[in-house]
Amino acid sequence: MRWNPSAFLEALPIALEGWLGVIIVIGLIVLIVYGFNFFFKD
Amino acid sequence: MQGLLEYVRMVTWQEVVMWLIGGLLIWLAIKKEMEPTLLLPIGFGAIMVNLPMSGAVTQIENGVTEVGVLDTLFDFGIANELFPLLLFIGIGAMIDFTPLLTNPKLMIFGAAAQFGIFFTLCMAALLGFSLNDAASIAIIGAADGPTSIFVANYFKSNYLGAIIIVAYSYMALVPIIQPPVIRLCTTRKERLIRMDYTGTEVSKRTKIVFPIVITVIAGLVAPKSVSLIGFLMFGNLLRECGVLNSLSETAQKVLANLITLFLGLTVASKMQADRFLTQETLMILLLGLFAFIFDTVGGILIAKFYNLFARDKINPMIGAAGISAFPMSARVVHRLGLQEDHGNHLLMHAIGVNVSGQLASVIAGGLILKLLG
Repeated sequence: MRWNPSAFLEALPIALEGWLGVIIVIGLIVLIVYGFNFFFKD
Repeated sequence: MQGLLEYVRMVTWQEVVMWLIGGLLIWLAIKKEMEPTLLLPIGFGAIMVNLPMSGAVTQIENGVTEVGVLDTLFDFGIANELFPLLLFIGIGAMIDFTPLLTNPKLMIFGAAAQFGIFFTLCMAALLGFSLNDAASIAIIGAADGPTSIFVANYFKSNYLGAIIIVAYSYMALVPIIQPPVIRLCTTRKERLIRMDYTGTEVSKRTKIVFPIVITVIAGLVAPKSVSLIGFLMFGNLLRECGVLNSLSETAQKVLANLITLFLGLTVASKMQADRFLTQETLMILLLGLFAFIFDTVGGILIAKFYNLFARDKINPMIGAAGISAFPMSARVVHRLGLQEDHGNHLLMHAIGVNVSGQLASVIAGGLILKLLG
């Protein structure tokens, strides 16, 4: 195990993309669910 | 007599330490009721695999390989990701998405709370783990056992045993880990915010279409996550369709119990002393805690950010429930709300965020597979 700043810099954009990716996908799902709630009524 | 003592003399101190760890897991499962369905078989399995020349795991004696039953089970159920996926059918059948569908905006906090996973990925890489191992360790922050097993196994991580133990142990410790972090990140005034629960009806059609749409979206964004999210959503469809109640019950009880039983014992096959008692295991323990703490922080901070613009303020504590450990996290938030104000019932809101955290953690796992796979 060694301190590895270059691996940190390599991981940083992946982590950012991953986190934003989760937020974007969930954001899309939120919009779709609002749509469902609007159109589908029992 | 000599023959009887042959294997006793082979016992190493590392194996004795592993027996103690196994005993501790069994004690925690029975006495403290911490994730007993998993910690008990894992603890027992840890003792089994750490006996000298244990027949439970593969041994090579005099050049002859004798395959152990736990290794056979591992190849059959974990190496090909079958057990975590089958378990997901049961979990999907247990989840009721209604609180989330009632108030869809709560989902954003579940997504934000996955921050800990990605932050830990960077920290594990900084500490010298390979990117694949770092991702496998970071996914402990998903606070979701099957996702952790799936991702760590996908990346063929050398630390699978440690990752599973840490993930399940911290999930059980959520009521201890989260409250101080929540108090540190919120003011008393924020903790006192009351939220009305309207309890709007959600149509049956929405509940049926929801799992199908989620599978399609996740599949289009991260194709490698289709099996992961697909099995979860299939289980939920069994629950919500209304015509397969007996299948839904079987998935929730019999299937989930059987798989959990095998999963625990099988995971223990990766707890042999020479692989488990390492400096890396200690670091995984610390990084796992790190992931849980920063998941909590991420959810709370986004909730506070939301309050900057919202007219109807939300209690930022519910952001912490996005960690996914279901339903402990929601209960922790509810209890903290009641401690501040006896009339502040946050449970339904927290459950909504908690369920969304479950969904978001699986999507996060899928995205990690896509980005690093």
